[in-house]
Amino acid sequence: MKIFAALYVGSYETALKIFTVDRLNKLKEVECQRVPIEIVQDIYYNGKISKETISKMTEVLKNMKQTIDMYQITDYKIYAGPLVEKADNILFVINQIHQKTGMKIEVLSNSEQRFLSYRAVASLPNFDESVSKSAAIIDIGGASLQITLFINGKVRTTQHIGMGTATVRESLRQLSQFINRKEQALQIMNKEINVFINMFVPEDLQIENLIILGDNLTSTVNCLLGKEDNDFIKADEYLNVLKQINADTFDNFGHIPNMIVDNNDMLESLLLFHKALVDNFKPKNIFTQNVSVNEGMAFQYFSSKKQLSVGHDFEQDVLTAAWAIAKRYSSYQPHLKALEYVCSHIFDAMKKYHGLPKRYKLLVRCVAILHDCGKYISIAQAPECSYSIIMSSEILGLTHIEREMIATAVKYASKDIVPYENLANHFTLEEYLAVVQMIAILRVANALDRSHKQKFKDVKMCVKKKELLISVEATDSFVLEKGMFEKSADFFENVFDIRPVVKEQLIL
Amino acid sequence: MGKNKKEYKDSYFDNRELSWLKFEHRVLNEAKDNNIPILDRLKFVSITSSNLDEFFMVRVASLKDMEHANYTKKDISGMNPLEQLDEIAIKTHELVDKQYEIYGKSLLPILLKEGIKIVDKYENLSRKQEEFVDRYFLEQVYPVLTPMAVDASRPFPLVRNKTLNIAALLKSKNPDSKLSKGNRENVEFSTVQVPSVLPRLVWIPSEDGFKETFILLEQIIEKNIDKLYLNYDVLAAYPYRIMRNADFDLDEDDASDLLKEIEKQLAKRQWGEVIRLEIQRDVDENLIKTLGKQLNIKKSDIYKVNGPIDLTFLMKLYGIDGFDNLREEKYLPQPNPRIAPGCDLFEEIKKRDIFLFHPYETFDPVVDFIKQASVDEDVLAIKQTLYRVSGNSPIIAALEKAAENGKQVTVLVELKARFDEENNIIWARKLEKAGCHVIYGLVGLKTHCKISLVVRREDDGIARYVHLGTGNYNDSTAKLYTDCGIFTCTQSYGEDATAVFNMLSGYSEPAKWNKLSVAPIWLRKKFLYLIQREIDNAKDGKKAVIVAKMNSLCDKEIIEKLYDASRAGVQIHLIIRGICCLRTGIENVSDNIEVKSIVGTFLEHSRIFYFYNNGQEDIYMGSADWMPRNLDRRVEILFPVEDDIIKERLKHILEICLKDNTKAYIMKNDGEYAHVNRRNSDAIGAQAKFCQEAINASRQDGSNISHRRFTPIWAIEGDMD
Repeated sequence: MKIFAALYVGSYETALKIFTVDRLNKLKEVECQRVPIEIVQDIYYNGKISKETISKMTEVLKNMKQTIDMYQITDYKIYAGPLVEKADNILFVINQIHQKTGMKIEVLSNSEQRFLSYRAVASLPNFDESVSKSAAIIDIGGASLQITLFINGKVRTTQHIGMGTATVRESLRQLSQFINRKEQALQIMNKEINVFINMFVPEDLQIENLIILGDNLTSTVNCLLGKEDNDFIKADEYLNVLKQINADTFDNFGHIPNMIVDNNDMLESLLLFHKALVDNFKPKNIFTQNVSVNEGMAFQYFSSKKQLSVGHDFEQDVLTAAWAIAKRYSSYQPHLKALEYVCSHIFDAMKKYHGLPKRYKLLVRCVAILHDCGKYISIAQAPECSYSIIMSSEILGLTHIEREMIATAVKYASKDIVPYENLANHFTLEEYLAVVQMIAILRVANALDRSHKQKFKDVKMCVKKKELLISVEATDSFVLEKGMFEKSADFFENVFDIRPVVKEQLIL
Repeated sequence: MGKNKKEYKDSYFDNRELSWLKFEHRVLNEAKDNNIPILDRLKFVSITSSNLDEFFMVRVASLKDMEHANYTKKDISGMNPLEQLDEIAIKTHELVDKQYEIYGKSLLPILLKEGIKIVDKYENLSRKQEEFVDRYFLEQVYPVLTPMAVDASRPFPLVRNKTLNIAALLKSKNPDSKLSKGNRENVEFSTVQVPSVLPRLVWIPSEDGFKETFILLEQIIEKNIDKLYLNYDVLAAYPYRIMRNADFDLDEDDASDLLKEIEKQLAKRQWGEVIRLEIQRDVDENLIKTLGKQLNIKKSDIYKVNGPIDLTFLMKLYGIDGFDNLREEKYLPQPNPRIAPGCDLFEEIKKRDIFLFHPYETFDPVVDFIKQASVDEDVLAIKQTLYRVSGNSPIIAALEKAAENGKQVTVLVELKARFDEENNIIWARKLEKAGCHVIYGLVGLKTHCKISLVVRREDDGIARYVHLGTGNYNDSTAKLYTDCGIFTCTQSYGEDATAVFNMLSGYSEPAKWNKLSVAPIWLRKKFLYLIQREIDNAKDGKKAVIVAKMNSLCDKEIIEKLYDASRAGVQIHLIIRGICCLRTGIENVSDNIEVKSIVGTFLEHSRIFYFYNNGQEDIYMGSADWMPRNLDRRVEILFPVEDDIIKERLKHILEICLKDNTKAYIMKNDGEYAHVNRRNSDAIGAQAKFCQEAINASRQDGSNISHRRFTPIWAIEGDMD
């Protein structure tokens, strides 16, 4: 039996959850410890984490380590949310905590953090069904809000809005002298959410389900309605309960014994968030799912140990998100499709020779899909613009480093790659080499569709005697492609010591 | 109905101190009961005596503090502190008079008849006995005595709390001597402590056909007091005892180390204000004047008793060797029918929840639970709360062993358990030394809940085994107090138990409670909710019943809710051993409430709560009484009982308690208590019945329990020689 401990240092709460997988191959929570630690307030006001907070964090993490030791757990991970990166003293904090507790905190990027929560929710048994028509997954954090839109079961987009419960709470505090402070805060929320809806939700689409990841309010609402997580609640019913709940009267739920109303001061902003979301999205149903980053970490761990199998195809989410970006920036889709197809084939054919992990095939496909998205902004500066677009877009399911690898590969797709030294502060040597290999694959694929006319119908590849034989059934003259092919082939050969050779068979 | 709290007048409530004194009367009544063997009757006198000491040190002391602070806020029954103190003084004098009357007039004659003599005045000793006593004095007593005189240069000495002393008035034989400082006329005062290191009850040779004879230590000293003051004539010498204010308040916020703070406060306990002086009735008036003045005590706080001071020595007499015929046959706690000696407790708990009923059933399984965990290689951690533990606690030993065996052991030792503070400090240090993680309670709250958690790594995951109880983890008191408990490994209870310990160790706030209700945050709400649910059912014309058994009921909000419930038609049966501020029989207020109190051989201590819930009967057990301190200032746990078999057992227990007509009292409409009228029904004593049931159950299930007996094959019958 494997036990895994997931520690997450969030913007206003640090949580330890310990998990095992039961006989039915379901994730089982063994222990949960949550301690409020207000990092967000420190960063919001002083730009760094205060001594007092560091000391509290250290104490809490020591206690958590003791619990981990109690279960004799050897496998654990400790992540911190993206907000802490904004603290000026984050490196010192991480070092101090490492010295005092023996635990090394890894800081997640926003998309990594969101992916973990998403992974947790998407691993639940009925997830695919709940997003099959249309759905928005809402993950309200201390400093930001993440909205992931699903249409017809596929991720349309995921967007990060820089507004969370803790930041709204601080705004409410600052507006405390105004009677209509809540209305003011609500107005800002409505505006932000509406921007998302206007840009991404088709006009004629009614969102079927709003899936809200567990927060303090969802459990309160469920408690009031006598519902369990995962029970769907009609929007009207939900709004009625929100009306009933008033942050000022939270202490008066005398009729509900054992109801835990913690982090009470966050509830006011949570209430506003929920109200704004339901009002604007106007979903048919609302689901609440009591999962968090910790569950995502556990899913990741147990899937990697082959102890949990997840029905949902997360790689497909990544590809869908990449396509959504390509479409958004009006890339020429037939060309991208051809490229994705060829790149995949080259990756597979070269499997023995490049030695890259399977996961990198996904990255190569993304490189193909996103390689010229920057043209939308500037044809001349397309590589740089593509890089910026990719780095600024959320692709749920990719780590920060994977996203940067894709962006870098795209940036140098058509120009000389800079030496490793120039990128050493971004990548390890292995990662750099993988980027170069992806560029080589992309360049060959791109050369095959130089005219953007997809003149080939069928492509077959195999490696023979230091040559990658690419047989294409051309539907048009392949002269241009073959002529331009040599330069890309040289680079490819430099990288892999295998030369791509095109053999075309004209079909008329 | 009941919304307006002023609706219930002050007179609808009893004062908690006066209610407590009523309970003491009920205990004392046991000493009057001719059906009880004489030594047990003496034991009840002793119990009331020590209870009264505690009552004074805590309750009266606290009222005195209020009086000094000119605090005039009225209590639940509308009395201010001064009125309460006056009334307490009257009632306590009555109680003490009754105590000595029973002791002197009823019990001593029986003792004499049974051949046991207590010489209460040294003048009554025979020659031979005098010689024995004098020799005992010189050899044993004299070396440890320190008489202390009082005069202008020697202030009144510290007379320690609860110690017995002898005050003497002296006159110098040589008034011109330097020592007398020319004090020709004045009589001098001196006091000497009766050493607490020596037994109070001293055996002396018997005469006149008595089987055993004893004399009290103070009489031996009095007889020989002239030997302490060789240059003086002793004009008068009388024993006395004082009680000091022991109710200390801990400044926990400023006390960085609770352990040290408590040690400091304990030392202070010796110095508190004198709130009671006990002295023999025939005391010299000059002596009492001097004492009263020096101790700064009011006349109403002086108790002149007609017999020996401090009757707690009778507990020693109860325990004398031989004379088993004068004691109730000692009940031997029976094995739990589910738990065979030496069985694997964890395996047994896995089969189904186990119910424990002490002292009818032995406390051993609880000790074994920790013992087995301490050596079980799959056990990862043991977590435990300790409020009061016994002198040589096997639980502490098992916890130490567990820590030594590398288990993570977390123990919350409540240092603030009144009068057990010193004891608990010793245990806490001992546990820490063994490598346990010791928590000294929570700032501002006493941790009173009784919970024990064993975390075990098993093939199919992490399993948690929980013991939840109504009584302390104290193997000694578990033989005397009636308490209940359960063992369970139900996941929801295990999660809650983990959350409780995470909360107690400051690790984490609970994410949710599955089953437990925990004071001080959630418990009051829970009880009010449960009562309200019965009220709603009654209002809907449905049957509504509450049966609650506890030690004390004095929480105003709960009482008012019960009055609301009674008015709504809920049938309420309360079995409350001690304080009950609720009054029965008030027209249109408490007509539907019955209060019973059982006072017997064992101290009724279990807390069981039954709610009819429209037929979906809910039964809970817990560590909390319906007192503000339990609901607001302590960490307490209420847990539901969900196993059908255990629910039936608890219903049966409540039913039998309600049917008790031998040891039960019922509250009358005037707030006083009377024995239940037996009419023509058969005598039912709950405690006796439970003893018998436990014996029967262990016999019936004897086949399951390994009373292994080998059957020899005899050669030929009759050929035994």
